[in-house]
Amino acid sequence: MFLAVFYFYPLFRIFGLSFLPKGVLDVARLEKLVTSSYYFRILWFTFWQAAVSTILTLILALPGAYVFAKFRFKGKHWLQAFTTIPFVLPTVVVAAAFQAFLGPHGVLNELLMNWFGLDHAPIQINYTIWFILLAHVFYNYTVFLRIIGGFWAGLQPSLREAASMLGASPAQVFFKVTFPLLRPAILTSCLLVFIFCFSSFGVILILGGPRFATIEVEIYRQTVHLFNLPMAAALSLVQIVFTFILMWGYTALQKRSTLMLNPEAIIHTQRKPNSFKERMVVYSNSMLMILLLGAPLGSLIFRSIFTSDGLSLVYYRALFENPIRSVFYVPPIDAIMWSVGFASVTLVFALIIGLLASVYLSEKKTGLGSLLDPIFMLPLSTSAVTLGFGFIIALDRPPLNLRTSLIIIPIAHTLVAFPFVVRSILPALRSLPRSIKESASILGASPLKAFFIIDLPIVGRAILVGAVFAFTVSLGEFGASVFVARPQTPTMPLAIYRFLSQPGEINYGQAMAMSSLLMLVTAIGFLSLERFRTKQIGEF
Amino acid sequence: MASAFLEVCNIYKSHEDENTLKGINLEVREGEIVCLLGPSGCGKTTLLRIIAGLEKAEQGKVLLKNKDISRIPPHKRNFSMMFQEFALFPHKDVFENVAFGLRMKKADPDVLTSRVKKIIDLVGLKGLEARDVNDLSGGERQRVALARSLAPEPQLLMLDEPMGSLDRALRERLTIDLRHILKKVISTAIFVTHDQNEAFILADRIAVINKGFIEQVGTPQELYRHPLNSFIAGFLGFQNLVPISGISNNHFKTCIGLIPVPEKIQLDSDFPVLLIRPEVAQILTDKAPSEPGLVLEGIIAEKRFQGAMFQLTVYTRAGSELVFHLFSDQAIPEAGSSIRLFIKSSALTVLKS
Repeated sequence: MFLAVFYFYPLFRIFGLSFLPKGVLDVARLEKLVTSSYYFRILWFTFWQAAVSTILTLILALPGAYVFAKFRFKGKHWLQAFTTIPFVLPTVVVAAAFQAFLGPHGVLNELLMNWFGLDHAPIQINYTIWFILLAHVFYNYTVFLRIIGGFWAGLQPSLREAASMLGASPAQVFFKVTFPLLRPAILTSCLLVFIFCFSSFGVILILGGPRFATIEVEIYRQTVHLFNLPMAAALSLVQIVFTFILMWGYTALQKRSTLMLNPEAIIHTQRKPNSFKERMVVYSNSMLMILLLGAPLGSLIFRSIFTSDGLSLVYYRALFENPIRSVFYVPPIDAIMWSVGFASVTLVFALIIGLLASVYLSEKKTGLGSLLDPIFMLPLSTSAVTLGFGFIIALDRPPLNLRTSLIIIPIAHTLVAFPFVVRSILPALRSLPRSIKESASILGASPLKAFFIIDLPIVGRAILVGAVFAFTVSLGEFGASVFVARPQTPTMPLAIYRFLSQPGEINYGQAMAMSSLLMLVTAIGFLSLERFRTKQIGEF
Repeated sequence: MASAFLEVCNIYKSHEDENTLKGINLEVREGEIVCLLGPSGCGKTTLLRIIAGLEKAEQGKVLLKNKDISRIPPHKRNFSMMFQEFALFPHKDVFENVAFGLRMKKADPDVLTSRVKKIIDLVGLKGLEARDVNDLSGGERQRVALARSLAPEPQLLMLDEPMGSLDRALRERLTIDLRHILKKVISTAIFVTHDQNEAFILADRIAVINKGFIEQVGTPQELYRHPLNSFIAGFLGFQNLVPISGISNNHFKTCIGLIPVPEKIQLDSDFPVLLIRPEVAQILTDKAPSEPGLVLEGIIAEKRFQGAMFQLTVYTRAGSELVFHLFSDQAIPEAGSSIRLFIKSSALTVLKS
């Protein structure tokens, strides 16, 4: 029901608006979209940047996946936890981190300038495609690491040994056995990363500057800057169609890739690096991870506490003030308050709905349940931007006028967070053997009581995971918020975005400070989850 | 022994967990099926992997026809191995799984096809060539794994718990089939198992391994007749192991009574153990026994019919529990009643502890 009103209705409105701008069927606009070379260029750019990002990430991450899959080494656990951080970071924070690292005033540029006595920044990648690609690599490295690495570690070593006993050289073993077996995992993760890059919004909006626009960014510009709602709707339609197709392909692939292997207990397949060569491979990959993933995050924190006058917390203090010339209507600290408030409401909403949906899905495996399962996942495949856009065009008039209501933000966030919650709780519920519940009911527990004394304690951890997801997703949500949030009630990512798009040292510093805060909250949330989880977080 | 086909010399290997090897010596003759028998964690699989070249020994060497092969990588040894979980390639069908080794050898396509077909036929899988290996039953998978390891005509076939993941009934039938197939292609084979029945059916010779040492090597009959020590006897399934506390007057002192020492036995170990085979007991009639032996009185705790035999569990007066097999064509008291049994001294075996 919730989905119907707040998900399908807005999307339906998008369809309506793109086809019937003034109440009459008007295909001309769509025609314009298709024929105009400008929009074709946007579409083309969206495609190739996603493809290049995916391939680049794959190349960089494949050795890392190998190292994680094959070896046990000191600090691996720590490193593994560390590599999850980028993936869960809000896009805005990633963008800010890359500004801090490689931007014109970034840490690396200043270091180089100091070392070589240069008077201008040697690295000029601001507003270039490289900046975007790098950020995407940073973002999605973990996806490959997790999916391919996990799959690789699950491959029975005896398969390789069998091939080798049958006379296959190490190279033949890789190309005839290992690679064909990994291929579904590689394809699946490639498609997933492609989807992420395809619908990338915050990174491109902030790092790409005016020269680059994906479909997402263009929807935003058409809506907010040009107020060309029908055009934005048409673009949203294109975006929705593409993401649906991609997501559909992804689920089909994922089903195929999970069916064939009986995964070995991973502990048996991993060993310590033995030879010098193996140790070098492990160390160099660990270094790459730390450098690639750590440098931008480190720079972010560094930038937030080093002002032009040296070490100081002045930026953090500035967050609590509201100077007259500030770009804000409200003091930045309010953004934090609003964000935490919205996130709390989202947490409650998403947990209630997610729990209900999970319980329902776990009990009904056929018929309606199997139909609903993918439907519940749909919001994940719809980009936040189209969602936000759908909201402002759908919910601004009776019967539902929430445009000015505060509740609209948590609702949007709930939609975004909902699939994560379901994906966290559902596997835990499904792994509960039916016999446990049945024995509880035979021993005299009513269904409700059985749920509270059996299900809830056992899946409690999964619910906690879902809660952290809901909270942090809401904290970091940018794409939808940028549409639905009002100027008086900005969230943290919005505040960061505004700081970053304004000149001035104090604005820059405040962006860094707020990003650092957001990063720390998110990172702490997920690292503490990592400590006591049994399976991979969620199931994508 | 003049011409051992494969010779394992003084192999040492330490592991993080158990599975360590402490000086293993073993010879395998051409065309022979040798079984490495031992409890899990005894190091038998490690030894097999060292022979295969999948692991390196810390000390010692492996000789093939008197040539050291320790430095030859596994894919150049022309050995084959059948893995415990079969390790079939899930992305290939039955035919391609079996053909893999020949493809690696770059065999002529016609030769390859006919050879693969012949082998698939031999293991009884005719008609399943195009089947996806994920759709096969456990027994079929085992046969594919066997066919795959036989197809390249390896000079040595290794089998790691080849029946390990099959259920009991299937196991017995396949074990007999396996021996037929192996003998038909006259392959030299080493296989690893923890199941003494399997070893008895399959092997020409058995090496019993315990805690990294080879305890005894012999044919199945030798092992059954003369297990060297109580570990081997226990592992072969013998239950009636009675410690001997001393000798006086040409009698063993045991907790079940004084037993006349058989003439041929000489005691050299300090605390030997007496093995009473379950099939050697007779019900004592009123007649006095004609040869020296042990008269055992006890209560039948359990009486189980097993076709030709009854299996009796007997509590002796002294409180030990012994198991005997008696022919079921005679009158045997019911459970709960007392019984008197006679065991000839000549049927007793003295073991090292």
